[in-house]
Amino acid sequence: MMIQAIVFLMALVILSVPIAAVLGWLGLFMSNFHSFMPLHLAIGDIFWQNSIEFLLVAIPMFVLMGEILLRSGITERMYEGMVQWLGWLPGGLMHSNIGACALFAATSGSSVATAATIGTVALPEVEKRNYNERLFLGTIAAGGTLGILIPPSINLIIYGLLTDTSVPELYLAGFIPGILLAGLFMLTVAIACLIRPKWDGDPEPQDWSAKIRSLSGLLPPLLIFLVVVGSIYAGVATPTEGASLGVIASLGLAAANRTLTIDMLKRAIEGTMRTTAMIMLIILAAIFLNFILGAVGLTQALADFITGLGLSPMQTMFMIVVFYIILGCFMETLSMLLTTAPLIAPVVIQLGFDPVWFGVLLMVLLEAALITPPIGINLYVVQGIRKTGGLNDVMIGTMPFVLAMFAMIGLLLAFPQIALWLPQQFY
Amino acid sequence: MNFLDKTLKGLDGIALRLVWLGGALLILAALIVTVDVILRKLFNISMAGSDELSGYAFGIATAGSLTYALLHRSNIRVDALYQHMPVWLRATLDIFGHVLLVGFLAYVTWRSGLLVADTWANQSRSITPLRTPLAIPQTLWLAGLILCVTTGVVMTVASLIAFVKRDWARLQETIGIKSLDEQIEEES
Repeated sequence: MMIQAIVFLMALVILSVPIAAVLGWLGLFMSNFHSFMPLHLAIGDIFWQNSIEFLLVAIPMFVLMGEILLRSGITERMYEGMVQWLGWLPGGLMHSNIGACALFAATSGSSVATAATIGTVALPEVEKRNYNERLFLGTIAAGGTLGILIPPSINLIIYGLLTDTSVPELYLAGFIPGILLAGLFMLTVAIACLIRPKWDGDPEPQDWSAKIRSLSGLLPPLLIFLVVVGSIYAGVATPTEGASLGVIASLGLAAANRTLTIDMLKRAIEGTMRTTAMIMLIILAAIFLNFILGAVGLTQALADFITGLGLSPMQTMFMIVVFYIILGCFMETLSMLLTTAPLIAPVVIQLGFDPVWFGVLLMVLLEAALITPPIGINLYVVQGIRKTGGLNDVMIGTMPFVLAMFAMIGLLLAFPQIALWLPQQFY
Repeated sequence: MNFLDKTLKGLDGIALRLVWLGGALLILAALIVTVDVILRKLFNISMAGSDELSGYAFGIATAGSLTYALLHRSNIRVDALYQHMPVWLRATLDIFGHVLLVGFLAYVTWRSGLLVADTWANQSRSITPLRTPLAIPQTLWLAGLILCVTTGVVMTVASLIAFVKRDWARLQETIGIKSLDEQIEEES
C-alpha cells in the first residue's frame, strides 16, 4: 500500500500534474482501493469546513499585507535604510541585501516576492560599486529564503494546521533560528570578504545625518512586525487577528506614504487572491489526503516501517534530513511541505521529537530547497531579474549560503534549545 | 475572434471582478477583526462572531478566485522533467494535468453540491451564537466552484482544438506552465 502510494505520487508529480490534483487524486485512489468505507464521500464536507477555518484566514491576510507594502514603495526606502546602517561592514551592501530580505521577509510570506523586490533594487549596485557579482547574487537568493522561517511565516501556519501544533508557539520557536540564520549569512559574507578583499565593493561613505534620515524608511516595516508578531507573542491576538491588524496597519502606512490608490489596491488584491486560491486549493486537497491516509492506516504503516528499521531516533532524523535535502533539489517548497509533512511529522513525533522543534527544522530544510540546484526557484528569480550571464553564477554564489544553512541544520540537531528556549519562556 | 475566445474572455472578465469583490470582502473582514481585537483589549467588550464571519468571507472569496487562478495558470506544477521535453509532449502533459485538475475539482464540486442541497433541505444553521443560516454562505461558495469547473471545461476544449491544430503557442498560453519572466512580472 505504501509503495503503491509513493509510486502514484511520484509519477504524477514528475509528469507535472498540478500538485493540488496529485494530492486529490491520490486521496481518491487510496480511499477507493484501501478503505472499507467510502471515505471520499466526505470530501465536500472537508472542503467546506476548512474553507472557512479561521486559522487559515491568516494566509490571505499575510499575503495581502505583503502585497500592499510591496506596492506602496515602502520596500525601496527600507533598502536605502539598510544600506546606511549595514553598509560599513566588510561585505558592504551584501549585508544590506540580507538585512533587507530578513526585514521584508518579516512582513511578507513570499520568497519569490522577497528575492524579486530586493534583487531589483540591489542588482544595479554590483557594477556601480565593483562587487564580486557571484557572491552578491548569492546574498539575494539566500536572503530571499528567510521569509519561510522568520515569523509571520505562512509555511509555519500550514505546518501547524497539518500537525495540530500551536502556531504562536511555532512563531516563537522560529524567531531565534531565523535571526541566527540571517546572522550566519552575514558572517559568511564577512569571512569571504576578509579572506578575499577584492570581493568587497567600494566602501560606503559614512554619514550620520543620512543614517538618521534613513530611519524613516526602516521604521514602517519594523512597526508592522511589532504590530503583527508582537500582538501574537503578547497573547493579545491569534495569528489570524494579528494578520488582520497587519493588513489595516499596512493600509495606514500606504496612506501615510501617499501611495494608497484604488489602482494600487486592485493590483494588490489580484496578486493576493491568485496566490490565495492557488495555495488554498493545495491545502484543501492535502487536508483531504491527510484524512484518507490516516483513516486507511498508511501513516501508521509508515511509522511502523521506520521504527522497524531499528535505527536510533537520531539516525532516523539524520535520514529524514538527507531525504529532504535531496527532495529539495527537485521540488518546490510548498508542494514539498504539503506532500511530506502529513506523512513524516507523525513518525517524527512518535520517535519522541518535539513537533515545534521539527517544524522549525523543516522550515530550514524548505529554505534550503529554494536555493539548491538544479531546481531552486530563488536561483531562477535572481537570474530572471539579472537577465545577463549564466545561471551558473547564481548557483556558485549561493553555495556558501547553502553551507551556512547546513550549519544551521546541524546546530538545530545538536542544540534543540535554539528553537525551544523562547517558547518555553512563554508556555 | 471566434466563439470560444469570446467565452474565455468573458469568463476572465467575470473572474477578475470576482477577485476584486473577494479582496474587498477580505479587507472588510480584516477591519471587523481589527475592531474586535481593539474593543476586546481596550474596553473589554466582546463582539461575538467576527471569526465566524471572516471565515465565510474567506471561503467565498477563495472559491470566487479559483477561476482567476485557473485562467492565469497559477497552479503549482513541478517542471523538472517537463522543461526537457519536446513541445508536443509538453502539450500532452499540459492537457493531461489540466484534465486531472478540472476532473478533481468537478468531483469536489459535485460532492459539495450534495452537501449544499442537504443544507437547504434541512435549513441548517451554524452551531454558534450567530446561528447563521448556512445555506447562504455555502451557496455563494458553491457558485465559485461551479464557475471554476465550467471555465476549466471551456479551457479544455480550447486547448484540445489548439492541440489538433498543432498551435503550440496557443496551447501554452491557455494551460501551459508559466515562464519565469511571467512569474516575476506578476510578483513585483
